[in-house]
Amino acid sequence: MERPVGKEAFNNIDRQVLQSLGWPTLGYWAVLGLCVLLMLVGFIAYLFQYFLGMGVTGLSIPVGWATYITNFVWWVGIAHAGTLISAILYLFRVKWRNRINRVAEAMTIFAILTAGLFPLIHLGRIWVFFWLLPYPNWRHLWPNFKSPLVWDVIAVSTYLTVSTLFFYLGLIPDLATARDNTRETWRRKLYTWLALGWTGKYEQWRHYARAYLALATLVTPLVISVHSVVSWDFAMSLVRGWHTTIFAPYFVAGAIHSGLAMVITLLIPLRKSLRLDRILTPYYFEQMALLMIFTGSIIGYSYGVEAFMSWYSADKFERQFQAFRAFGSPYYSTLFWMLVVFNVLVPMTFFVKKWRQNLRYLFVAAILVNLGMWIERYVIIVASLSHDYLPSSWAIYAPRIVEILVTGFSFGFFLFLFLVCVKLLPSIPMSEMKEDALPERDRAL
Amino acid sequence: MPLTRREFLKGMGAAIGGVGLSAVGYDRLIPYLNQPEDIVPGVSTWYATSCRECPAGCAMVVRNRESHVVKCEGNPLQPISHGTLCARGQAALHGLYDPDRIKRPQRKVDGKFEDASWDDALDDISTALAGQRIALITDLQTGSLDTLMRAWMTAMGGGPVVVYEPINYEPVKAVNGGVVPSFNIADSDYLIAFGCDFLETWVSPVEFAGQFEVMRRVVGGKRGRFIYVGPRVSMTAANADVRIIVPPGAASEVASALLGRASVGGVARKYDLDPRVLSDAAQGLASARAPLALPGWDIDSAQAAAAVNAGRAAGLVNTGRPHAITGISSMADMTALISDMDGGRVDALIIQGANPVYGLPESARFVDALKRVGMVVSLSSFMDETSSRADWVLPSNTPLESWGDYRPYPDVANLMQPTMGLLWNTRHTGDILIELAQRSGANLGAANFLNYLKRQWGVPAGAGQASPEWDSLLRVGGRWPGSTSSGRDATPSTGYSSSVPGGTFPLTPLTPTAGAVTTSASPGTPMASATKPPTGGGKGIRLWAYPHIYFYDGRNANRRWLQEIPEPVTRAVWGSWVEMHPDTARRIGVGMDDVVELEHAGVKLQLPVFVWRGVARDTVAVPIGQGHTDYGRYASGRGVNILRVINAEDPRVTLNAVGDRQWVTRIKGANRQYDRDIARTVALESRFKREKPIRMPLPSGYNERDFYPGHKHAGHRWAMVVDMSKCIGCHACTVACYAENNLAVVGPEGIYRRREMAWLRIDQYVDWQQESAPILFQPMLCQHCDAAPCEPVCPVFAAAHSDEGINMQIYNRCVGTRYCSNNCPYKVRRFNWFDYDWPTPLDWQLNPDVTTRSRGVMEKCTFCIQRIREAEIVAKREGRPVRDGEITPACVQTCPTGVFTFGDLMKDDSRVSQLIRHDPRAYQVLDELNTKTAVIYLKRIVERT
Repeated sequence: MERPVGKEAFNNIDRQVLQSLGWPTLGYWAVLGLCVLLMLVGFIAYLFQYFLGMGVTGLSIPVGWATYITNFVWWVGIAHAGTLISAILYLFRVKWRNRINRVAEAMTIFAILTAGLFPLIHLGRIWVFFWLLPYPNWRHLWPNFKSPLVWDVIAVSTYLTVSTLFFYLGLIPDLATARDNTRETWRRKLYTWLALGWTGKYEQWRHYARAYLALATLVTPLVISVHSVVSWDFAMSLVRGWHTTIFAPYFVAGAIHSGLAMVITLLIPLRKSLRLDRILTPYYFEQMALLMIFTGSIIGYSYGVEAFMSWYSADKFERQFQAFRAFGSPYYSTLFWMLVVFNVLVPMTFFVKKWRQNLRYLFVAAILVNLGMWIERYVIIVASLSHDYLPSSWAIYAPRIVEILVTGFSFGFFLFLFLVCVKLLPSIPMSEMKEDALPERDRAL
Repeated sequence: MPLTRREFLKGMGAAIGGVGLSAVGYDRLIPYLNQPEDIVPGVSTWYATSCRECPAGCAMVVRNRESHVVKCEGNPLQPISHGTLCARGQAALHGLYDPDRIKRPQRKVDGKFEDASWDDALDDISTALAGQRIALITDLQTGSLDTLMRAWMTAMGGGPVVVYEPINYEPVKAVNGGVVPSFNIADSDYLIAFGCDFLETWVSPVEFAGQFEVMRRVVGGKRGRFIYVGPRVSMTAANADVRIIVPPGAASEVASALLGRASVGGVARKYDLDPRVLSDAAQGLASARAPLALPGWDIDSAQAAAAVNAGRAAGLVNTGRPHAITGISSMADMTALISDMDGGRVDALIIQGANPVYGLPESARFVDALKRVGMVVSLSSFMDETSSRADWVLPSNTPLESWGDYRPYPDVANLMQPTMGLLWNTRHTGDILIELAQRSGANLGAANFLNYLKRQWGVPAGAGQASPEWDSLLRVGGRWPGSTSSGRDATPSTGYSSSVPGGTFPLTPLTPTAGAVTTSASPGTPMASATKPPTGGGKGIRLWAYPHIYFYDGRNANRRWLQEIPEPVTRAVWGSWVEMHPDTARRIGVGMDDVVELEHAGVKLQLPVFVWRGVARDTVAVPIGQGHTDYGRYASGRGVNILRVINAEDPRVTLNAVGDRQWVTRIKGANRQYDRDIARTVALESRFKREKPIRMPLPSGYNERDFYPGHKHAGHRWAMVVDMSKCIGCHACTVACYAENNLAVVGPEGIYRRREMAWLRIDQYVDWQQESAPILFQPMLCQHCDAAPCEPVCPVFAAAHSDEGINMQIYNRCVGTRYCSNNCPYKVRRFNWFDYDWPTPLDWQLNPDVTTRSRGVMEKCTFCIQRIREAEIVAKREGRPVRDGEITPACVQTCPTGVFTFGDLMKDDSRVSQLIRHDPRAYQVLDELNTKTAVIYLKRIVERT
């Protein structure tokens, strides 16, 4: 079959993408309703915590951080794939990113928004959370810039700002297309307002391309820095199992790993329900699966190095802690070996071409990796705190109902935003697809 | 609209009025309209009185702030307390402020209590008492109240007086000529305790702990040796050099072996002991200069001690100076009274302070006998098991609200005075008795108990008669050898005080008032579950019921501090449990936390199992003190009352697994060191070797290693030395810390979730391979690190460093990230998981100098910064520098053995500086982390490592 070219090709793309903005199906409403329910229940659970105290959680004195911080780290990790796909792969001229970067970027933003809730939720006195922000005040009190938590505030908010700008910038030409193709008044008003008067003039394209490149360059180091800073929450302390220099690259690789898994998890149902299967062909998933082999290998290597270094250091605390985590506790050790399997061995099956091209398999594997990455953070945070220096303080942690429901809230919140987004904004970057459809010499970038 | 001058003024008037009205909401901030002359807001008044939490008779001083008492401390002038208190003494405040106290007289109508007025009560009772056969049961009282009660009974017809205590020391009396003698542990060089927990509950624990510390000091490379023979590794046993763990009833045999009268090999074989340990102990005993044996709770151990002491310990056991405990009536007297009651020969029974319904075993049938008494009047502060069965309950003042006196020894007399006004509509027992006598037409020679007391003490009792001698007695807290020549006040130097009037006062001889010494020959004691020697067959399991270190005989069970603090060796809290050896547990087929049914003579008790190696085989140990059915919200319905089953002829009990599980509520955490060198020991011979010297003064900021520059210290740098060799594990410091620093109580659920709030805890490390010290106690508090891991991680500077070297926590800045606690290698920070409650009037005990913390903030040890400030202010006012030793944090102040030393590192001659520099045992816990702690530990000295 001959590929359509020119205006016809562009119209094809517009039609295929914009049809996804049509009236949602029943399944969509059902999932949306579930999200609202999760949010409602989680919020009520949170109110208990707010009015009674942190005691409704399973936290204790050795284990001061657990489920909430795990969620924070995990969601920040999820937020990484989007920027990786849109910025880093963009800079490396990886073509297959063009059809999935919008979804990935949206995911990034919503994941950061979700992640950002947890440092607040876990505060003993959330009503004074703003003391963590550097703002001028008559007491001349500033946050402690030595504290990794303040670095967190700065890193995460910067990342949110820049990735939102990046997302919005890439969206402008498509918003204009949507504006020109919609019949609903409210949509047209919205898109007109958002499209900032985009007409597709050459000058606009030139500025757009420059700005896009500049933002991509700016956001690329942020991908690395945000999770490095998050990892320093742990690495900067002296808790065994946290205090190690490998944490920054280890966390970044893990973040991208889980982010890719999340993109796969979201896109596979999406292509079905939005009828985008002709645009999102298995080829794109295969590319992501290949990338996950790479990130999975880094993670596997990190596990190995961590264990080796704790043996090589001959530090009794390190050695005892590693032994405890891997073999010492039925509860933590089971989780530990689960995460090794899910995060390292499962992605290794992507070496088999048949499997990585099977979307169903990929979907299951991606969910396992998501789960594995959550468990990884959980074990790092909880097991390390459970067994620290003085044996007299040791204790095992298990989440309680409020923590589980608040975690449920975060999923509801994230999915809700995501679902609303795919129905409100074109989820496939039309302009970039069109660029792909152009002959080589006509491409702007 | 034009505004006229008149309207403007009207408006202003209304506005000003409104401003004034708005202040009405602050009803708690109203200052004194007429300020009492002796109350200065913000300044403490200290009252000297006597602790009455157990029969030991420690003198104490009680701190009163704005008319509420907030803290108890030992009276430094008195030889028994030597300025310190135990955990129970510290918790005396919770007796006074018990939220479940009886607030007004109660009359029982149709099985229910109704409020009554004092007039009605006294009228009714005095009418009812006329011409009746009256009996009196009282707890142990000496001095004026004892005299008064006996005089009252004589005046009312001369019925029997029974001094009832559940723990009556009859075995000790039986082998010491009918008295509980005074023991001199300090001068002994070889101490053998036969099942005798003299550091916890036995006779006078604070006094003995002080003496024990003296005995254990290393002088010329030697120190006194301590052997413990008994069925359980109690806290006292954990402090011994050698533990010989044998079932109850085997002490005499071990004593014979030690004295060379029985074959060491035979005894060792019979009880599965190491013969070398036995023969070594026997040799040590033979060559000892001044050996002393202490008799324990049962007759067997008392006889064992008597055999060892015979002829050798004469100077150390002084029957000529009997302890007040001697005055406790024998079980025979009680049995006689019960049979009188049962036979209807008692018309009216007055019960003063005692709780025989709780303390007597079922077999004594006291409850049934009580029903046959015409009228039962209880004079008590609490609606306990006995009060709730009375017809009249007359609420008496607690000791801290009372005048009185207590004489632990003939030459030591403590004077008691009210330390604050009455909380409720209660009266002093003495006043009630005097009033009853007056209404019955009898005259006891005094209008009220205070006059009676003064007369007893030989001072003018008339109204308006100034007596400098009385004033001086009140200041000093009583009379004892040296009390009048000291010329000092009992008031701590940091407190508000005026000096004692100059000169000395003649020591007026006191009326001899010791309680009737019974000479009952029957050595039957409620403690002795094992008066028979073991049968050796292993069929029956012997029960060893031991007084709980904090509840003693159960009287302190409604003090929630004491419920919350871990029992030193099991670390169990808020409940009862049965301890057994792993072999015994295996035989019964149970494990840790399984519920067993303990059956004896038809009484069945269910309680969870605590398995550990510290109990003799085929023996189970159960603490006394829980299982109250009536007492108060913290004690009632908690655990089981083992006193119900003991004192029977057959010491053996039956244990059956019931298939249930119940977690023995205990402080979680591992109790092994895992080669981490946290609690270190040093052998006696090698104690002068220093492994790694501590750089002095502690360097602040190593240039080559630290990223940030060191701290600047202004004037002081506070530090503490903790001598683990002296720590006996009694937790007095912990309770003192609870009292001083307004620590919250989290209850069993909180303990289960590892949310205990203790700023100062005693960590415990067990290693049975270390024969000379298998259980190590390590006080663990904020180490006030110079390079504190908590400080840099706090995002809002709530954890900060003071220029006096204190690691501070600023509560109202804390946002509750808990990062500081995660990063604290010592895990001494405590988080407020909830808003914890202080049911009124427990909140009246709160120290006004210390902020209470709200939910969501972190807290921890402050080195009692309020005390440091107070001392600094006093020093500044007096224009002098703070003296070394002037500042005593609450733990330092109360420690009976002087474990803690607090002082200034910037002064070369301070005791902390000297100890750190010169004691080769000094080390820092986890020093490899470079935290540069300001708390320096001294290794525990053991015989062998």
